[in-house]
Amino acid sequence: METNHQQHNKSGKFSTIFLMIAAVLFSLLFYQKNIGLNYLLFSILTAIILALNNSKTFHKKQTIYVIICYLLTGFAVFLYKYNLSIIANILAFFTLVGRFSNHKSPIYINWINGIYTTIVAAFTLHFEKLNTETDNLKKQHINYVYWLKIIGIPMVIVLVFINLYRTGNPKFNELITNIDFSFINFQWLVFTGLGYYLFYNITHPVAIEPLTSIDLLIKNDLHKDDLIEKNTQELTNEIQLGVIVLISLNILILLFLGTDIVYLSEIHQMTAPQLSQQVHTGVNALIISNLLAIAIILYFFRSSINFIKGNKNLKNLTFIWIFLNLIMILITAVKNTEYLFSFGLTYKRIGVLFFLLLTAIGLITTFFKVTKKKNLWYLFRKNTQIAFTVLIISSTINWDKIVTYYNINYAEQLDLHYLINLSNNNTFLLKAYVEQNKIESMKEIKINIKHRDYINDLQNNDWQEMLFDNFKIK
Amino acid sequence: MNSQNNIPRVLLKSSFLAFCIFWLQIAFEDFNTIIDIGFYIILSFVLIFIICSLTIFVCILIVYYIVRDNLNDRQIFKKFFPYSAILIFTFCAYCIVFSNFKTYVCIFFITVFFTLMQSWVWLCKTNSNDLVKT
Repeated sequence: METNHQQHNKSGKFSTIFLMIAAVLFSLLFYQKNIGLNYLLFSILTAIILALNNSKTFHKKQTIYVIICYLLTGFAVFLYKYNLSIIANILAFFTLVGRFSNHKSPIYINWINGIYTTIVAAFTLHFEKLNTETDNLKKQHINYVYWLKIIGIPMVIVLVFINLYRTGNPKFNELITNIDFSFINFQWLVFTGLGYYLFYNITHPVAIEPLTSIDLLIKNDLHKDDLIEKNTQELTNEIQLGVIVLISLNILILLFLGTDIVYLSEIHQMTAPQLSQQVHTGVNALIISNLLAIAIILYFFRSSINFIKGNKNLKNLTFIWIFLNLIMILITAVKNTEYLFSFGLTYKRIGVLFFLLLTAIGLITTFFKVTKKKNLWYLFRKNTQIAFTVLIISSTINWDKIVTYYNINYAEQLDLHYLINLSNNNTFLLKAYVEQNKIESMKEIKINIKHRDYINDLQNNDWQEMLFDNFKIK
Repeated sequence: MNSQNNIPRVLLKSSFLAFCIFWLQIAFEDFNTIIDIGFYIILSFVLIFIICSLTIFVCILIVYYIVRDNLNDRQIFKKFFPYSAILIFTFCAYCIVFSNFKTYVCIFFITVFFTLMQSWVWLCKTNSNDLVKT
């Protein structure tokens, strides 16, 4: 019968061989290569390795969701290769690795644990090993000075003598100069070593303590017993204050919305700078207003107010205020959309829409926080998770192509200079546009150069660097 | 018990590690340069020792000296190593990306990162005598 020690040795050897294969594949995919198909293949490889390494966590619903997000972003890199999908893929990678550190933790703890595991899990494990008594006693016998003498001194002496002999004998100098280690690719070895280090780390997940365990202890719900007890008079005073503040704020926001709606009816008569100014000031007002809204709601609903019977008015006023803030978001979205229709799509304008979406989600989660008696952590956990999902979804969309297609076909004013400076994802669209329409010769030349360079890049791609566009050219 | 008495030893070991990582990477880049400047490589240990000691002082020892009276080495490692590692990694990665992956910048910051991480381990490693006592 095999002892535990023998079994451990066997699985250790297996895992080492397994990691070495993964490291070689890592080098094969990334060594001196650009980003392309290799990102997708690396994502698949990582997902397989993590799943094999910890099948228990792999079968969890939330882990499967993160794996799908990770593979989706890997696929997006292969399709479009633009910065957003690369950033989303890296974030999904850290999330996935963090899930294997502790599958019960929320997404922001997964990020921290994922980064920690990826960069230094080997050092943490090494430290733990050194600090166990038996290993420590073994290591005590290593005499560093002895090894320094054995390796360092002869090396120094040999180097000094090589230099002396080189000056004394031209033939020897020639011999030394002709030493060529190019048949061994050291850089490749170092790169493979880094790949091994990476895979070793992610297959030995570690969690930051006590951060992870403290976070797990904090639940999402508010409990009456956990809150600081206040007497009834204090609570009544606080409710009165809350009601007055929220009534004032509701009146103020109603006035603001009223004037804003009047302004909105005049939107078609506005000039471009006026409309731009309106959108920007609207967004700025929205940022401050919503941050304040959430802060005020959190302040009033931080304590026993959540549990007493006389809080109905305060709750209703809070809901009205959330609703009015949502209307303000809607009006800003309308202004922004009008702006898009008139002057075309740009990244900044799409960014504003995403910001509005996230703000609206923030307000809705605050609404649930109040109705379901949740705490601040609930808000933080839900909102980070939603923001992550929005990032993953937005990274799978070919924005450059959408922006170009919309601006070419529908925008009242076309800024070709802006479109030319976008990534290569719109090259074929621009080329087709140039062929069908007559445009300024300078811009036509720029588009043709962009197209020619992109085709050259695609043709020079190795299989690791291949993009989806490679299939479109012959 | 803290290992403050080991600090000079840790600095020496870390400098030697940094020396090895740094020159090995350069050797991988261009072996003949190593042969050409052989003697200066040995002298460079002094410079590497100074830079390494300063970096360890700034990145690890300041925190270590502040908290060593209240925590033992193991607790210090558990509490501060993860965040320190993440910050150092972010800084090194930023510098490498900012330099547009210039070879010598990569070599320098790879050396910095791995040396600092190993220095944490050496600095906070509990002596076997302490373990026997506990």
